[in-house]
Amino acid sequence: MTVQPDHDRDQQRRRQEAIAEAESLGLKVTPEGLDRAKAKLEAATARHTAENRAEWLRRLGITDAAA
Amino acid sequence: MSDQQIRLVLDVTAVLAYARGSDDVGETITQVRENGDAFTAGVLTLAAARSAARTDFAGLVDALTAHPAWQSAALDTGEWRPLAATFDTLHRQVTDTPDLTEMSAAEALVLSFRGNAVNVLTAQPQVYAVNVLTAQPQVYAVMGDDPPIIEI
Repeated sequence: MTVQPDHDRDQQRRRQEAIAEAESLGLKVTPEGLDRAKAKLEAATARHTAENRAEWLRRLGITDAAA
Repeated sequence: MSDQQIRLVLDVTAVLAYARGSDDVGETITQVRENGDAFTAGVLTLAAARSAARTDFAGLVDALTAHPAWQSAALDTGEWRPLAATFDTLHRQVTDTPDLTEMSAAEALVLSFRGNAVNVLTAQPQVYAVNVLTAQPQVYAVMGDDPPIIEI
């Protein structure tokens, strides 16, 4: 995979801004913690397939229109 | 109006964890912010957390709802049926006594179904389990093997 320096720099900048903002809000965050959170979010988001959604709604007894 | 998309819904256990200074919650909502997305919690959840919290909760709610990635979201009257069905399913599976945690979990799930790829953040995944009283609890089983649940 080709490395995209601009993309990496943008990601680094967003990360630094997010940490600075979080600290200004009194939140304690670390790059490692954000990496863990990112991995969890990505893993959960990957589960959002049409099949899974239909299964979740079926199990909860609700229809897609109602949801 | 913000064009941020809600990608995360906190249930009452996540809000309470935030109130207790959980790094996991802070880092998760910071990552949501870094992604350019938003998070929310329902009004039932905020009220349930207020009921359970022993800290200065007004200040907490102000801080949480003032977060740059916060977006308000509330169920409509017409959504009482999916809310009731979800609550009923979660309640049947967990305890004999309905409680605010289950109602908050139901609210979080129904809010999550409104959007595209919206996950629920919780500190008590067992609330979403099929039956915690069995010898081998199947965490998340109410939602199947691939639930939209993130455990902190």
